[in-house]
Amino acid sequence: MVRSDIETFLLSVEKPGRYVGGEPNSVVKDKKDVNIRFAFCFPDVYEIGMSHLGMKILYGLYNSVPDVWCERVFAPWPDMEAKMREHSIPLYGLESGDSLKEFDFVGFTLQYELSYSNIFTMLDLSGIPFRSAERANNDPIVVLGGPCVCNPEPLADLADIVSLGEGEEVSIEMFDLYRRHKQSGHFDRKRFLREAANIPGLYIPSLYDVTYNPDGTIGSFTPKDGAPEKIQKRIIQDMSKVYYPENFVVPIIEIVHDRAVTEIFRGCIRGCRFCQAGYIYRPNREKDYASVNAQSRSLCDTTGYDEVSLSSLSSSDYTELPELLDNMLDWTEQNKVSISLPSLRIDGFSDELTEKLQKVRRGGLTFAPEAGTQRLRDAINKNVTEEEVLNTCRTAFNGGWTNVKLYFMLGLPTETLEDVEGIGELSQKVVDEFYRNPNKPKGKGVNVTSSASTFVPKPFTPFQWEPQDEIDTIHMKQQHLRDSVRSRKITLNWHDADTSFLEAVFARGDRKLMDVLIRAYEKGCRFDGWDEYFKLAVWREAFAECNIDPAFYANRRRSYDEILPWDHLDYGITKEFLIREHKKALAAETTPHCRLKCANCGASKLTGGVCSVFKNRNEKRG
Amino acid sequence: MSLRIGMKNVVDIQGTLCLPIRVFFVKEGPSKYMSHLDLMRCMTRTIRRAGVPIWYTEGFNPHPFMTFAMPLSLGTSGMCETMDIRLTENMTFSEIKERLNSALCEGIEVTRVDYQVEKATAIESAVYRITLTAQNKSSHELSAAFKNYLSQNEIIVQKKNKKKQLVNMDVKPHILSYEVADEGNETNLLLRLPAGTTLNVNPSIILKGFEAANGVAFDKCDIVRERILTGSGEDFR
Repeated sequence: MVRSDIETFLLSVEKPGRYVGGEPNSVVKDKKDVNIRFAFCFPDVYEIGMSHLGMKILYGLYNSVPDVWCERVFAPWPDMEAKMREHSIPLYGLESGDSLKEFDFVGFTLQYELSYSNIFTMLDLSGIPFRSAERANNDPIVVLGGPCVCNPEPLADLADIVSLGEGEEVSIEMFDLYRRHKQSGHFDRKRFLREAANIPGLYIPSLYDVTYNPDGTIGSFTPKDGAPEKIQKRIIQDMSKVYYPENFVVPIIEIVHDRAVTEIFRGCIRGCRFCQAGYIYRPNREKDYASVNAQSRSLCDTTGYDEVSLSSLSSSDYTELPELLDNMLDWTEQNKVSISLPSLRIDGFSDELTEKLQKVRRGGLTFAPEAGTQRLRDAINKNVTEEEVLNTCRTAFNGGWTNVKLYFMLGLPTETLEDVEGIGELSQKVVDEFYRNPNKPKGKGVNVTSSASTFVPKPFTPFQWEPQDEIDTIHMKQQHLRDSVRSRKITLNWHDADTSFLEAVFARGDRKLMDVLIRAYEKGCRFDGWDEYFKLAVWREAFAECNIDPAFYANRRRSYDEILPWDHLDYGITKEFLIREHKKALAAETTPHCRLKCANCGASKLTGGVCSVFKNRNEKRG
Repeated sequence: MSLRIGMKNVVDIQGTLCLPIRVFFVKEGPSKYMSHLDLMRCMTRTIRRAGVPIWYTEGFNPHPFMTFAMPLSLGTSGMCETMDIRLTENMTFSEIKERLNSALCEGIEVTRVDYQVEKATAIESAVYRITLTAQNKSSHELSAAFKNYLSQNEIIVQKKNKKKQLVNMDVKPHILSYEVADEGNETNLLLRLPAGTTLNVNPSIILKGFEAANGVAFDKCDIVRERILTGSGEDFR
């Protein structure tokens, strides 16, 4: 529904369709039937937030509860923010147009660190105090979720509740508790939060005291009021039985990922050592192909989308991929629906697979060798050889592709200049492979696009103790990479080192950073993930004004016995495992993937002692 | 039910029997913030959700065939919008209307489905109803100012040319008719302007011209395209 008070200026802002709601499949409920109102906030612009699968799942799930009404909220673009302030319009839910302050819960999903500043904009526009401690009894309960909450500490003072891991079950339990408290007639926020701490997966930061050592590291982390010492993340045990939405809200303006999406599995068997997702979503759990097929079909029918994407961390690792594709092709071809399979591993690409994917439409090809030399690929446990990269490209060139994108990282632990040159050399070998191919398409050249992002050490990875390369070092390596590429068939892209630096600070930050976030917000920081708005200089001022050295978080090597800000959170994997993996990385030794050999990471305790990787396999054999 | 040669208006398009039809619809509310490109995407998906059998273009990247007689500017409501599609199976016009309406987003509503009686090239003008309020001006003052403005012999406004440069033009000869009414708290303007393939005048250039000439800024400026007319002054069918 469009708020009438925004219509006077809506045509003067960019893409007004972001702010009006009314999309097909959006849910509008009668307020008198509703006990719990949840504002699902994505701290980025509409087109980004609307592309996020987690929001679609939880929006559908929450609204499937009769007395819960979940609405969507996105960060207003700065032009809209200015207009809203000028006309004193609070941030509102797209479905009702009501101010966030009228909601029971205001939930933010933390997908990337550079969206944190937008959370402050959104709270500020709603008139909700930034700090949990400053909120009144009847202010909304602010909940944080998403991958970045595996270290929520920079925002710990902001959160009333942090929800760890997968949200489908725990949010319903949280609603049940809230409903009981609200219906008791005398809602007491503090008592509700204390009881919420008893729900596994819910972390209440205000129930913990932190002390710091003189050097700035954490001295102690102490629970109070009976809160648990360690909070374990939640996972879904059976992916085939868990709720999945029958429809998606279909946006009226174009969004980034404008298509149907189904999940084929969660978690990843690979254990690439730089990849946080590969660790925090463990253990690997597959959804059976019949469910994926039925859900894909239902989604296409209810949305009208003509493309369905099969989402996972590494699609070619899905054990039932051939069965799934065969079943889907039965209806997708006839209905002119194309299937896209993102996150394909280099070693999972075959002639047969490409033929199936090409039946309706052909997309681009992207592979991620991540590092230029075998030694460094071993150190990061990528488990991909140069031969496999070249074989895959040969297959693709034979299949008629002429554009290949390669993803690399700069600044990986143990990286030398030789490894940097390796990126250019590998890209050149891919070009050479094209010209060696006798079946290459006539009259067409090859274009290899190699993108080098900057490595950011993340919590719950074997590199969580590693310093990030300083910005100058990254710039030097980028220059070195540029110098090592001669061919015009290779297009080099690289990621801005400044944003990666800020990402590294907040990824492994502690509670002291809350002051910096507020300061930076007050100084105008917004949309830091967007080049046109990111200003490192302003962030540096905010750090300086708060007497905090960002390099302490980004560029310092931490010792194994330091108390890390996220040590009280339990994501299944043990510190011992991460230390073993870190030592193996330094020795450039690889670890086989979960199906070949269990690396004893600890995540099996989340599925009752037997890892789902082996449960799946035994069930299929039996 | 399949289509047969000999049924009214059925044509053979690249080997497929098709019935070209015209869908008349209203576009207002949140949907007026949908651009023309967004509208095409929205209609494609609506037709797929609704299960209306329509003809897809042949070729490497098949897409549903649809044309719109008169694209609407972002922010303008339309009461008589049209979309031409080609049915590949027989379906009653009332069923098509019903199916589309149950699948459409807020603000778009199909009012009528019919055969394509006239070609889009028959369109020559459009009628716009514009509701205005302005800062620091009563509707009485605003209405009076508008009457003066529109009764001039020459009305110079700025218009973007094909090179996207602003150029001056006299819009007076293009104002086919106008009415100004003071509604007590807002000004109501009815403008008939050229529309179609040869000459198209967007009412917003006149409104901007008025703002500039009178040094006012509209608080509310609601534009509705109420009618699309052919050369004979009849509604486009």
